[in-house]
Amino acid sequence: MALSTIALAALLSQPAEAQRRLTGKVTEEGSSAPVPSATVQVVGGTAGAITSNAGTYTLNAPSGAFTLRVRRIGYRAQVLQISASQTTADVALKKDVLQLDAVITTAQQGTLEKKNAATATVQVTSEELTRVPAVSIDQALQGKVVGARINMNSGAPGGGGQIQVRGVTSVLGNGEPLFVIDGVIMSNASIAGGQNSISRASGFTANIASVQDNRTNRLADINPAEIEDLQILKGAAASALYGSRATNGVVIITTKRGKSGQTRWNVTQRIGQASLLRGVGQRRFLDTTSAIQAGTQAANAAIAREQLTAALAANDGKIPFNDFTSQLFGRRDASWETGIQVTGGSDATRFLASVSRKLDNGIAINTNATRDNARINVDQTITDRLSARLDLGYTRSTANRGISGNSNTPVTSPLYVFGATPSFFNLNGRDAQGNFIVNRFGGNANPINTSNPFQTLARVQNEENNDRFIGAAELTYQALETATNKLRFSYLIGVDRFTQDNQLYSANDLQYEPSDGQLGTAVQATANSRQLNQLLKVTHQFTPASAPFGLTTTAGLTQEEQGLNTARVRAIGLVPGIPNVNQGQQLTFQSRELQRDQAWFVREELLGFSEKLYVAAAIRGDRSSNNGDVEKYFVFPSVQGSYRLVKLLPTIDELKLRASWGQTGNRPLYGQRFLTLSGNGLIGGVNGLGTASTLGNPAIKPELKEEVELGFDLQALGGRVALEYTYFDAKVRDALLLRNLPNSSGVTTQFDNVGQLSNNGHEVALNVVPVQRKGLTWVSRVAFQRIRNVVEQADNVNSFPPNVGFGTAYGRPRIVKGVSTTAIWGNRPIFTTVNGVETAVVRDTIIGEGTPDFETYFTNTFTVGPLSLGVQVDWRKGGDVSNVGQNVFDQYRNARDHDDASPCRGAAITRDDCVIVTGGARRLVDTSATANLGDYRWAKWNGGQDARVPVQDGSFVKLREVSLSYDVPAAVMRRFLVERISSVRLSLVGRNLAVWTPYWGMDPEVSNFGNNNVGRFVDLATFPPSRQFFFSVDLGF
Amino acid sequence: MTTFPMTPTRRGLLAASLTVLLAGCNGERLNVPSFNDPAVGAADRPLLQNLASGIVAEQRGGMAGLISNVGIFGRESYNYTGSEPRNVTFFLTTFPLDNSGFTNGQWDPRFRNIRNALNFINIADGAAFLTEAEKSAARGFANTMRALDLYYVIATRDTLGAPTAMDLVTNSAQPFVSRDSVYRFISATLDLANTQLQAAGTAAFPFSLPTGFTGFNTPATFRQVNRALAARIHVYRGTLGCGAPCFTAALAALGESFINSAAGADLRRGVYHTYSTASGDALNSLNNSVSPDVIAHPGIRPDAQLQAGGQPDARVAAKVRTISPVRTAPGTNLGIPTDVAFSLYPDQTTPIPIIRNEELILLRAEANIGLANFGTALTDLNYIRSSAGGLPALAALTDATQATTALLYERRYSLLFEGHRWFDVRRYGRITTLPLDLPTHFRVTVMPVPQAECVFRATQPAELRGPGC
Repeated sequence: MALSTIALAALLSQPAEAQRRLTGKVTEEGSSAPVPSATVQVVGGTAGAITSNAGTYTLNAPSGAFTLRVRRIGYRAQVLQISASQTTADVALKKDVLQLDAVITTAQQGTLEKKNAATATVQVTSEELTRVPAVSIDQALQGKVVGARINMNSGAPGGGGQIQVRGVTSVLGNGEPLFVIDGVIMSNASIAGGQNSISRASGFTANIASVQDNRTNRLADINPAEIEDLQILKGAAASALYGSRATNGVVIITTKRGKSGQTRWNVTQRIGQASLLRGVGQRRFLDTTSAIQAGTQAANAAIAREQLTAALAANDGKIPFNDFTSQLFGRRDASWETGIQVTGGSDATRFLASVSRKLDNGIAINTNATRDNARINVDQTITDRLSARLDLGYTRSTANRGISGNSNTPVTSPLYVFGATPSFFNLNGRDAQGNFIVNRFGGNANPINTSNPFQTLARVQNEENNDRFIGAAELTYQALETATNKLRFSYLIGVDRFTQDNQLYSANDLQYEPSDGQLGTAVQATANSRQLNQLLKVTHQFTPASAPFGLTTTAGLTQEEQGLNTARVRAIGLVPGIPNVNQGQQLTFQSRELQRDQAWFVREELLGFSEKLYVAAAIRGDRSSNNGDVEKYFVFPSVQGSYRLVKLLPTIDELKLRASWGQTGNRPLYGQRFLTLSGNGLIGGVNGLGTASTLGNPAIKPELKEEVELGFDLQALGGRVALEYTYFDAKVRDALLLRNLPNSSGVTTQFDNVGQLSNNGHEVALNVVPVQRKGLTWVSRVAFQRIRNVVEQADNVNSFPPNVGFGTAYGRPRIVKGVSTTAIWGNRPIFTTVNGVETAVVRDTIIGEGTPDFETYFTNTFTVGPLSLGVQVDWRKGGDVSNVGQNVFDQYRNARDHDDASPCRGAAITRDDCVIVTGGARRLVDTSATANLGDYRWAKWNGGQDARVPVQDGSFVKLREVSLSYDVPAAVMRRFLVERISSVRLSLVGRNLAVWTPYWGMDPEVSNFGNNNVGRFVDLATFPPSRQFFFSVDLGF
Repeated sequence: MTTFPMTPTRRGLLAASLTVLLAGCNGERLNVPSFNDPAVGAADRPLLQNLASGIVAEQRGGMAGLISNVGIFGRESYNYTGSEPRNVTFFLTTFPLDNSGFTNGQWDPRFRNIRNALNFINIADGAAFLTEAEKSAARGFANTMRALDLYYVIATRDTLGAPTAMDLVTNSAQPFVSRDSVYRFISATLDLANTQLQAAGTAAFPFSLPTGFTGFNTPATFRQVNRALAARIHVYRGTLGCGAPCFTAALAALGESFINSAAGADLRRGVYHTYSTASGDALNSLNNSVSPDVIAHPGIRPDAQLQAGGQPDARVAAKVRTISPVRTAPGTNLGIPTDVAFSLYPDQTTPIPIIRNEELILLRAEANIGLANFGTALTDLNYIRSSAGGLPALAALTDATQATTALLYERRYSLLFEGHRWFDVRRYGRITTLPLDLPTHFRVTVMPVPQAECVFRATQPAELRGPGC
């Protein structure tokens, strides 16, 4: 009985054909080095193997002739014809320096070879992400994604960046891409920690935290070293299968997985440091008169004189000079990172385990970020048909980011205070008792309204702790597998849960603490985020033997849930030395949101005619708890197609034409559907309730993006040249805006789908291998992008996006029909002459543009034997910045270039750049022969009547990455190192090494308001940018 | 293998997928409630309390802003925030006033509160849990409060006029009516509220009021506040063209108010907005430690009259103090230095008066001046001069101009930094008596209607577009 069962099982698992063994070795073409972990697969069959460390493989091959495909990430795939009698086959793989043979993701977890892709998909490899360490993935991606704008909000350690794919796709809805890691929909929330309670950027009384808190977005929790591959789906057709969360693009992260065979270890150790890239400087006073003048501005004449006298006495009668930014941000403590990864397993069980620890020290005292990651990915083949994977990822991130950005009274943000403090004052000094000296400047002569940043950063604790678990489990059942039919079911469940804990403590004795009448400030903020998603999918592949094509049908159901609970407590008036919030005057705040989504989808793909034609159509229906009608499915269709013209001309290997059309949605935010009363404060111990100034809308629905994408991919000269070109044109209808109501109705606005936006752009990437010979390979890439976004429809809506910009005096975004979505609006004088009489008015009009004219990224990699040099340079042309920071320096006459000549020396009244408006007429600014630049800017700004002064060109060229690495040759290793070590790489790398820009401020890429959809152009007292150097050793054994 | 037999495993999988499918179709899961704010709708007694407190809280929310804004326009105060020079430029040097921020206050929250009051009345009208008398009391309270909110709107907009109607269903724009019509509407609303409070009889309010209303927290006593406010409106109307009939009506209303000019009467008695350090409550942002940059105009001292002993008006010492160091404007040529700050809100929770006895006595004097009853008016003015300022009595009021000058002096110092001087000098066409501290400064007569309101109205039929925009 037992025997017969075994026999039956053996019979069942026995394929129809008899088998033989095929062995061989896979090597790299040119170097003949073995290629481990390559996949060797029988085309159209199930047999396959993975090469060992020595590059060898053995597989059970079918009888008769067949086709063998050998592939490995980073190499061009190779196809061989194996004859019926053959038992060995060695293969030499060519390096795929241009990534022509990559595999991309299509339907949720479906894959497609890049050569057939009908949409422009960006793929970033593990190597590109980790070559040069970055504070977060956002930073690592800068300059590597054509079609996206990726900016860091500040130079603070710990991250804080934004990815915006193909322009502004939403004003009031979510504007950031959907992030999916191994099928888990993950949160990229930016949750304010409470810095506002010190900086008071958004007022103090009602706000504990604000969007100006220099927030970190939680993408910072992901360890780039765990990533195998990161893809960005940009167009609506590509992302349509993510339904009503896909208008902003989808970022699909795939982590590394185990491979059967010998256990392989990889250890990486990095050590490096960060230093100030570009400071803002201070004015160097040439005479005591100007020093007193500046000091008077920030305090009063008596204090200015007294402090200058003391400063002169301490410096042999010479006026001292302090460059505060260089002093405070001059720290160069070492940063380091250690990572260990191990992969291996049997054919049935494969695993990857990874742990890492990282410390980034910031360039100011008490600023740093750490990240600990642990991950275990297990793949299990349970039976021939049933397989499972289990991924467990844990992150602990901490960040101490100091205080930066906008600040109100008391002024505590360092760069703001530097703007007010004359450089003769020794801020970094100590008094006779060894305490930080009291800053006398910046608080209108009252020291409690200003601060000493050296004391502030040394003493204030602004700590963020985040514990995060991201896990996925997937079960796949191959229900049917024949030559013509394959049917597979899969079920995936993903969990993303994190707790962000922010603790802020400003001790009682800090200079500014008495300002609110209470000593000491403490904030405890906690955010709990929990997300869960499930995906049930069935895939049917139909490959009829007679027809020249194959069909793949994918259908599925998804269910998603995201909850976020944020609670903050602030206390002022503390017991000395105790940072607890259960003392003094308290303010509490809590906000909860919960959203649930359900969707179904069907996708049909056709690949045929020798894999030359690819056509796909898909449809998805989504419903969400955030829509007005929660029962209604909103349907998003898409179609796409590509055709490859192979060997068009002798020099042109292949030309692929591609086109796609699709619709995606962007569901409303939580709460926009509710008609609610709003709390308007506690009075007499009772909570007051009243009309909310913005009405919810019970009829709200998703924003709808419709996009056409056209392009071609050209390969020439035997894979030495690859050109990709894409044009996209998208319209976002039903854009969520606040429809105006007359304020005199008691409500001012209501959420409604009344807007329309349009985006279009060009994306070009040229990849060339100018040199590829035995000793030297030079790979060059130029990527270019130009994006335009325009408001097509915005009648009678609140045109001011919330929480961005400082108003007409400094430039702000404004949503106006027919105008660029990212236009910067602000005051400027406008002169009109009628009948010879000139009138002058100040108007809020377009004075700048936040979106660059274009961005271009240059990447060059030179490989000479074991040595490799990589250089990445980013060039941004245009993209204006509201330089509010300069305005602060000018207000107090402290700008580094204050004493430079005014451009208006000797100017005539007709020069519009030298006049201001007073009483409806033009009046010249100071045109004397001694007029200086700082006073000119301040006068020209004229209390906010000419915002063109702060709105400045943000063009730049950045030396983004340089890496020099050396792969220690095997012979050297054998001589000096342990036998078992199979690879050693030494690298010296740097990030943001240099910047060339006409911009006055430190970095034109920053954002005072953090992540937001349209107002990313305000620079005010930002944490300075840093340059980073690292030395790394990678060991493989 | 071309067939597809139903093995147990396959059946199990299909069953599992069906289960998930069904779970997926469960739309009930998608009905996620509003966690952060209560829905508009059903009411009960506790909710009525929250709504009543909400009306007071909303009105309180605009109070400090009103006083500090009209304080700057009326040359009582400055806001010298170092990091925000627009608190000076946008009030004193930028003409016309910016209607998109800073100087467009006292509009949105006031109308919001009028809506709160109308909502409250609707809910009270339909509340089965209230007696008729309680309903009447609730209406009388809400109507008084919304009349007061509309007063703040028209006092700041003056000749621009304002809309008086409101449609809670369509939220549509309502026409602007003239200043005179607005004041008449306020009078009528206060009179309606008066009737409703009387109709409530001895019933208590079906909610409690904050401690600032102590002594005036029953329909009968709150009616005295209603009459006090009615008197203020009548006097304003009297000076704005109505003349004798309004002054007479003012005297009648004062007779039913809490006015008290007996010897030793408490001039501070009245209704107040109260503050608290409790979590979620508000602080008085006119207090010097809450808003250290809100300081006083230096003209307060030299303009004060002297007491018999040579020391200045006692109200100066009571309401301002000297600060050191001297405060300067946050920027070149923006304002003059001052060493004076207010001390009349000494604590973070000092209440701010809504209306109080001292104003009522001055309103009576003003009405009598308007009626040329100079003798009666002199008695009240001298009462205030003596009891509040320690000043010698005036001998006589000889004519309207001289009497008005005398009245405005007393109103300036008695009601200093309580939000009156700018309105007063404007009502009497004496805006030019306000000093221009620098040649770049100018005098404002009205606060602009917010840009948002005007932008909306620009899309409406012609009759709705102006004249306030």
